[in-house]
Formats: sequence, C-alpha cells, structure tokens
Amino acid sequence: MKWMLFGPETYIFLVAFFFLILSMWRGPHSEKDHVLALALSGLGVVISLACLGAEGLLFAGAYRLDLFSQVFKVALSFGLFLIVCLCANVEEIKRRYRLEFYFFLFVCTLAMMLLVSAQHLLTILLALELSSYSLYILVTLRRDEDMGLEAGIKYFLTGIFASSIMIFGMALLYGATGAVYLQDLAQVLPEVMGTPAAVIGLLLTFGGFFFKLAVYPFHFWVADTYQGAPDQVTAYIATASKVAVIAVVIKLIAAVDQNSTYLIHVLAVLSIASMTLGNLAAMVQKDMKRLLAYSTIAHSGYVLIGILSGGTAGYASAVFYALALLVMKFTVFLVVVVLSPRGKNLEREELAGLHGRSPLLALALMVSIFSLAGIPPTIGFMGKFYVFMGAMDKGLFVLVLIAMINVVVSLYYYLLIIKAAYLGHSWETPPAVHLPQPMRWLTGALIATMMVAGFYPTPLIRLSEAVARSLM
Amino acid sequence: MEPITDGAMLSPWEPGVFSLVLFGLLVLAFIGFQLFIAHWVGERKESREKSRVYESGVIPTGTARLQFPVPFYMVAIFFLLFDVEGVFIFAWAVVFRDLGWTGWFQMVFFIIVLLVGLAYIWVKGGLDWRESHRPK
Repeated sequence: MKWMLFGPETYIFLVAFFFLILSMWRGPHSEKDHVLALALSGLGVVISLACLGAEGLLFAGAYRLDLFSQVFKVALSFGLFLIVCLCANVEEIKRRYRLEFYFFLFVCTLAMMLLVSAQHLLTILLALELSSYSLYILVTLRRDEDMGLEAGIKYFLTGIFASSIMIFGMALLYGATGAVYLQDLAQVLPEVMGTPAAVIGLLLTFGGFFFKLAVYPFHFWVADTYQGAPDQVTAYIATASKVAVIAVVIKLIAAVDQNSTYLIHVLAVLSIASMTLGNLAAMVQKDMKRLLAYSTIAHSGYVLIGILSGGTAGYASAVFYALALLVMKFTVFLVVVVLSPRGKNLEREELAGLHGRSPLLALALMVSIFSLAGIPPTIGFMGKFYVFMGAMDKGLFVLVLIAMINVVVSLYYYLLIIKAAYLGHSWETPPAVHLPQPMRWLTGALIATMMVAGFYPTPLIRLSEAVARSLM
Repeated sequence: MEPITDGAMLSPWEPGVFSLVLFGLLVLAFIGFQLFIAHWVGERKESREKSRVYESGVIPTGTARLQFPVPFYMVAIFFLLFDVEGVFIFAWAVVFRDLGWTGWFQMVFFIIVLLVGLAYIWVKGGLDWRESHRPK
C-alpha cells in the first residue's frame, strides 16, 4: 500500500485537524491540552521512526522518500515533541489562541516534513510557504501585543519579500533549463551553468532558503523576531525550522552543484559574512534571545561550510551539524523558557546566581553553551570538527582558518553567559527554581545526549554518512 | 530574437549589455530633458482650486483619515480565501472526466478543508458584522 509511505505526514495532518476542531468545540484548558499535545506528538515520533525505512516516489515523482527525508522527518517530529514539552506553561501565549497555537505548531511541522521530501520546485515552494505562514502567525500570538505584533510584522514583511525573490529565481531557473524536478535540474543545469539566467535564477532561488536559514544578507528579521516571539515559538524557529531548512538546502545544493565554482564561491562569501556578523553582533547583546538569534546567524555560517564542501563527507557533516544544533539549541532554550520572568524576556544578567537556584539547569546551560561554542567533549565540538575536516579535505584552508577565528571570537560571549550563571551574584536572592520531575529527566537526558555524542559520535556519524549517501 | 554570435574575446552576452546600457542612458537623458524643460518653461501659480484634492470632480469634504470598521477588511480577506476555491474547481471541472474518481476525491477533500475553515470563522464570530460577542 503506497499510502503507508505517507504515514508521518498523514498523522501530523490529522492531529493538526483535530486541534482545529477542538478549538471550535471548547475553550482552551492549558493542562489538558498540554498532556494531549504531548501524547500526540510523542506518538508522532514513534510513527516517523516506524516509517524510517520507507522508500519510493509519490505524487507523480514530486515527492521522494529515502533515508535522507525519513531521518529528517524523525528529527522534525522529535523537535516538535521537545517543543511541546516546553509548553506546560504557556502564559506568554494569548489565552484564547492556545489551541490554535498547537494547531499551528503541528501544521508547521507537517509543512517541514513535506519540505524535506519535496522534489518539485513548486512543491518545495508550497511547503516552504505553508511553514512560513504558520510561523508568522505563531510569532504574533504573544500576550504582550506590541512585542508580538512588531516581531510578526517584521518577520512577515521580510519573509514575503524573500519569497517573491525566490519565486522570481525559480521562474528564471525554469526558463533557463525547462526543468522543475530536482533530478531533471541536476541533468540539465551543467550545460547552461554559464548563462546569466541560470546563475541569477539559482542565486535568487537560494535567497528564499537563506532567508529561512538566517544567512547574512537575509538575516535582518532574526534578532527582532526572536526577541518578540513567545519563548516556545522562538525555540521552535531556532531548532526544528532550522533543521528543515538545512535539509532542503543540502538537498538543493546536492542536486544542482555539479562541480560549479560559481555556487561554491557565493556560498563561501555568505558563510564568512554570516559567521563574522553573527559573532560580532552577539557580543553586545543583553537579551538572551537576541544573543541566541545572532549566534544562530553564526551557526548558519558554519553549516554552509559543510554544505559547500560537497561530496558525501561535506553533506554528512552538515547533516550531523543540523542534528547537533537541534539538541544543543533546544537545551539552551529550555533554560531560557524555564527562567523567563513573566511577560518579559530573560536578560543575561538575570542568570546571576543560577548555580545556587538550580544546579541542574546551570549544568544544562553550561554543557549546551560549551557545545554551541564547540568545546570538547560535546556534540557541538564533534559537529564543528567534522565540518572543518570536510572542508580541509577539499583544500578550503582559508575558509577554515576564518571559521576558527570566529569560533574563538564567539567564545567571548558564550563564556560571559556561563560566567553570569556560575560566578555572578544578584542583589536580591531570587527563589529557587522549581522544576517538575519529568522536566528534570528531560534536562538530564539532554545533557547526557550532548556528552555521550561528544565522546562517542561514531553511530551518529555513520547515520549522517548513510543519509548523505542516499542523497547522491 | 536571433542569437548573439560568440565573439572571440568578449563573453557571449556583452554586446547585449552594451545596447541595454546605451538604451538606459538615452531614456534617462530624455526624461531629464523633459523634466528640465517643464521646470524651465512652465509657469507656477498656486491657487486654492489647484491645490484641492482631486476626487473626480466632486468637492471633497472632511478629512481623509477615516477609521473604517474592521469587518470590511475581514470580509475582503474571507472573500479572497474562498475565491481561490473557485479557481481550483474551475480547473478541475475542465478535466473532470480525465481525472475520474481520484480527482473527485481530491476535490472533495479540498472542499472539506475549506468548509472546516468556514466553520472556524463562523464559530469564532468572524462573520458577525458587529462584534456582538467576544469569541471564546
């Protein structure tokens, strides 16, 4: 039965539909809704795992299932599950929209699952738009209307601008090659790679994805949107949505990059610009979410190095980095969500004395920040090591050197966070943080994952390599 | 358009760019010349009638900064949403026989999704012209 291949997507769609109906049926009931969403998203992870081996083509070849797409679907449903774990306390979301909040989370995940499998330019466009529109709405759901609306409108305006650029690029690409399927593009593109229409079309098409990935010339929305969105939504944008976009960029580059130096050069320039700008701008941020926004821009730069290195090793390193980002970014956001004062954003200085208030959270913060900074033995170190190794094999020494300098620069603001959490003293002693028992397990599991994958990354590397091979 | 032949030293499309640049410069020069002539020769006399807002000959009254009721906007958005439904159904109707039952089921699914959207708007009070009750 071919429809079984479509299992995770169908399931997530049905759950989203269920929440929509529920929102018409009754008002929100925070605790009940949370347990429900938690159970349903947990089942989603199980179903995606069960469909891990699915392979085939659906919808007249516009939709491809292989190890690459299935692994990313598991990562996405897992990301959704983690985010729902954070939604026990959704005080920041407007009360009357709390059921719709879950609806949009599930729809957005559905769209990203479609995105990683899509093979047709229009399918990719539709999936990307569906996920973007869900996020635009999610961002505006913040209870503090001024912040949420400002963030949402900034996100929306830059977003539709990037989308229109991308559509124009796709039109040019179609005009130059006459192909809309990625596998056809891969065959036709090398012949026309020298023509202006193909080059400009490719660059503009990638513009839309770089917007979602927050790469340098398209990064303007990131800081304001992260700051204004509800914490859970910010966490979702920073983890699941980034993983999906990294996946689709890898897929597109793997399809169109037939040893063309054009694209490599452009990607190298964007990568250097993103990481330099992200790291320098992050230094002066006081707001934790703004700081993480700029660190996201820098991490997009590192991921691009893996992608532009190309070949199985390059793509595998990018896949590894995406999975690592999911875990470490989420752990930082877990701390941010738990500690955020009501109605406001968490400032870096407010972390002072965290060590005394909750040793577990302080440890989680330290491990995840070390991981983001790339200090061994954490998963983040392995990710960076793997990416830089891939680039060195291709002889991109200068690029790796610049990236290394950036890593050192980024240590400054990462260590400031840890300094605040461990050495800072606050004037008045804030109360100890009460963390429910399941959240403790989750935090412990995340710390363990980051450390174990840092010591023994072989299974994850094998997986990333298998994923990258299924792409070639 | 005839293809531009490959020059020995120039890249293939350079002649095209040259004519485009020339054309652009000529257009800019022409516009500049027109603006300059209009500015230099033209007469400027301010009068009450001239500075009045043009409303197709009707004398305007009051300020233009009205606050329109939100429902106008909502109705416009809903209209757009459900208007797109028609576009898809027309396209489907043309190839109705070729698509057969598969197409029929897909269209039914599409319409059901839209109907649920309509129900959502209705339940949440989006169709009330006045905000008679706060939605849940």
